[in-house]
Amino acid sequence: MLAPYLLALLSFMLVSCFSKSTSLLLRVIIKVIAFLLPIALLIGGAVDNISSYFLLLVIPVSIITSIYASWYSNHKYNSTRLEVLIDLFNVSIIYTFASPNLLGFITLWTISEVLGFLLVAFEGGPDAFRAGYRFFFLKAATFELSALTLVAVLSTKASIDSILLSSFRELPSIIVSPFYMVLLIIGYITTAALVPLHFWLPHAHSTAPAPASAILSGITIKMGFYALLRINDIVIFEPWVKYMLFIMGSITCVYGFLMLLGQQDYKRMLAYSTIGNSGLITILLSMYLLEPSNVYMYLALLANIYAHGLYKASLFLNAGTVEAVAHTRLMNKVNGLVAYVPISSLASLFSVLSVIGIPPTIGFIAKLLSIIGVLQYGLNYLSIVVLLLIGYSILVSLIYGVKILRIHWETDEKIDKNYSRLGNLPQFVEITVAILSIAYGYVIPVLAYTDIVFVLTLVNLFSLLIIVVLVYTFYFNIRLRIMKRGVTRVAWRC
Amino acid sequence: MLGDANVSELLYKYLYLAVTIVVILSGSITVDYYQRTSRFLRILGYALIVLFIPLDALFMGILSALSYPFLLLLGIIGLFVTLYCEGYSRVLLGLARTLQLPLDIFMISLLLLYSSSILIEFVMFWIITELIGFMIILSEGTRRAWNAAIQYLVVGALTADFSLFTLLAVISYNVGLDKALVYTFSELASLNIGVGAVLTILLSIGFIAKAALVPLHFWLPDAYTLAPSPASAILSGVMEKMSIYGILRILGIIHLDELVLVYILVGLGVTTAIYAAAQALIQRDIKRLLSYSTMAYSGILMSMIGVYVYAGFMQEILQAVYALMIAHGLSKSLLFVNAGSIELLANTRDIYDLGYLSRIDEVGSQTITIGVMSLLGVPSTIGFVGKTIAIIALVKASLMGKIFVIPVLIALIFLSASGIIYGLKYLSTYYGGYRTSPGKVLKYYLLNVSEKTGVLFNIVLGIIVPLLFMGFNTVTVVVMLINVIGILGIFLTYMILKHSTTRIEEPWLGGARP
Repeated sequence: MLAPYLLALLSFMLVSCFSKSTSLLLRVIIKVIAFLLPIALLIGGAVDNISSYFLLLVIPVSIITSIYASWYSNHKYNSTRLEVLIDLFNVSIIYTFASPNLLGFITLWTISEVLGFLLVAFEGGPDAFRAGYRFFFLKAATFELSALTLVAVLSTKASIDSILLSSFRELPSIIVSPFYMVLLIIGYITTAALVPLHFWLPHAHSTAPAPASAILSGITIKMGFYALLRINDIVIFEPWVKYMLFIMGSITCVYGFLMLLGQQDYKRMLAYSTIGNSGLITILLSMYLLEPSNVYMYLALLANIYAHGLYKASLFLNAGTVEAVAHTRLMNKVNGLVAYVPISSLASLFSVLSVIGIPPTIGFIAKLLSIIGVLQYGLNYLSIVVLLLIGYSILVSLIYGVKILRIHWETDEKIDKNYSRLGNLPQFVEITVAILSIAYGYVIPVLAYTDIVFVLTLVNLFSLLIIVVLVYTFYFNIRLRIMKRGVTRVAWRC
Repeated sequence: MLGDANVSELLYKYLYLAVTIVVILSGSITVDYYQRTSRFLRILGYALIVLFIPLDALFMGILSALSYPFLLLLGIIGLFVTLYCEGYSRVLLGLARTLQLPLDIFMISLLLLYSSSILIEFVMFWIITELIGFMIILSEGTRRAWNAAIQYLVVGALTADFSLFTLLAVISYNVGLDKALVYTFSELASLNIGVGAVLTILLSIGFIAKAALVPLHFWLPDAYTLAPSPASAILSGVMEKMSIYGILRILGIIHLDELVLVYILVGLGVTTAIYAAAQALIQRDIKRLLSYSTMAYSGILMSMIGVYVYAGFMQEILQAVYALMIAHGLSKSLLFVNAGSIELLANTRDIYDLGYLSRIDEVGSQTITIGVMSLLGVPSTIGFVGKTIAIIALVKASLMGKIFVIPVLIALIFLSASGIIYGLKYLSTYYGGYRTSPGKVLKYYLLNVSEKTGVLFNIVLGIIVPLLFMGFNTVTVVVMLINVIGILGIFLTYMILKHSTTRIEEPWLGGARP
């Protein structure tokens, strides 16, 4: 029973003790060990399915962002303080997902809120501090409200010890009044940034350092969905809650994607796209809660969570690179980055594929599974609304995907700008996440196997051809032509 | 779900396709390291595609007859364009694999599309092909290329996806999504699904955009002009035919509202043919000229499909569509390949800056002559076969009292007539003499070899194709005979020109010889 806490303690100690080590390799190895420790819980059988599905996303993204952070913190702040904070933040989040009972869940979540506040306010100055405390008070206060309400309503059925220490599946299931229901989920609605409680997000995500934004957007948002799925097993959701989630999700989706279109700042644009996607995932969640037997909707929910987590992490890291190279995040002032950070440009290309939903990426699988899942309900008002929203999100994704590609792959006449050159480490980290978002397309059949999933995976397998052509067209053709432009005209004669 | 018989058939098909794909891909990966092996492998691969047709027709019986003409077209055009692409890319970019691998993968995805036998294959390979086509059009990477490629993606490709998803929706509405995805085409045909006028329009609009019929035509000239020339040859010769393939596939699965379809196809097809033929007359850029010509032929082919439906699925018109399609594909890809050589030799595509090329490029002048002859439908080439069979079939249908055939016939004749003019204009890049020759320019030998191969196919298939698709009857025999006589005539002319030495006459102004 103590194992999760001991492991968490070990992980915290590992990352903080070795943070002063000068050897990057050693630090990376220690991090990987610290982040992989929860797998011991998985093998021991303490972690159930929901947790392990989420850990499948959380652990790789944590490892990658923290490696990126070790470069970023050194490059931008010339110290390892940011790196340590991010490592601790990652550990707290991983164990929040892995903890098998309420005590661990509430404790580690609270720790992660505090660390999150430090990260958001890391840049210093009044703006960052305002974003930080807005983030902290709104999120932490609502979370504590929800968590303590849960403990309170459960304590009517069982003793407080058994509530906090017995595993989730042993908790009694209860029915609560609407007032308590709202209190129970308000914390997770805030975490998922649904519309009336969304306003902390754009500031927090755009002022935090790039690797922190990657985690905040890629993983922290998903804690809300994880918690909602958990609560669903304990408290019986009445239909009005599900419809409320559906309506909030729809409004959030429309609002987030609409606000995105006017943004000039790369990170603010990504932040609003996070709000939009969070709305979309909430819609899928509510559809799943309405009919839990629909396996495609469950898969669509998971696939969307994976897809968004991976590409948003990759794009926020990309924003960090863009910042480091071009010294600005305003998208209309940056272009032709492929001449400076070619591998990072390639990574952004893969991520944009996933954003738009082009095979063979997890984004494609997610979009298609959502459509298939929605179609299982037949054509009624609800499913038509969802289909329209999916179409709308694809359209907006297309627009901002092309905006991102323009930063990298389009140049005006001169390519010699006063940009900095970077090393290879951040670029390789980015391409790793981008490749993960292709590789995760093949994970879905492991979660559940049906004929349609099999066919989808087959499609994905054949679509690898697209990636080859893509790399050749962009990396070997367009890049070379851009690089050549200043040097010499193409020799026509032979 | 998937029946046992289906599974084993699919397994055999994919086994064959996998061998073909591995051969082609290993050829194109090694293109810069082992040139001879690579060429051999690629030629073998494309030959395997052609070989798939008799193998399937005689032994396996997996594909439907609809796939054969398209596979034939793909195998033959692929064979000489893959050789050409190697030369073109090596001359232009220094490395052959830069363009070779994307182009070969493009043809592989076309192969997978044309050999599909269940619905999900058809839909997914269609989408994959569209995306690869998008990236090939983009490969120049300039702002113009981006605009052309995005225009292609939005107009030419997304509308087709729209139609495909409508198709999926219609079928899954009838049998459920699970079965819709994994039924073979013949199983789907036996379901007898029928749709109304609105769904007919939705189902055909994607293929109309793909064929670049008039309101949705504007993406085509830009896309074909900005793509690298070997890719243009594939786009125009093989990919353009996806629209025909798609519409015939859907006709085989679903009962569309025939009258609406005929109105759309014949009306838009004839308009497109006349508009594009007129546009082709006034172009200065050789690739734009060829693109408009492609658009015109695609209009004719689509309107002939309209006639095919209108005449109660008359088999002869379908054969005429195939014959004209193969003829156009071969001649147009040869001309696009030639346009690539012109780019490489002269560094311009403007007709009025050229006109001297016959003096520096002997093989090219033969290519362009045969290519234009084939496009015009002069005997001894495949073009003659296509045009003759098309006209005979259309006249036959019109004699049966099918009044809709008349505009198609008129459009075909108008296209042929304007084809003479723009064909001559295109020929003038070699023979026109607008500019004097800048001196000696070397041409990479591989370009010559592939052009010669293309010429050979244009001539040889003129004898084989009528037999393949129409069997042994009066028309085919006459067409074949005329073609053989034409070939002999051309051969004789060539020999005479080659071996006769021009006598140099001294000027004699009268009086006794000095």
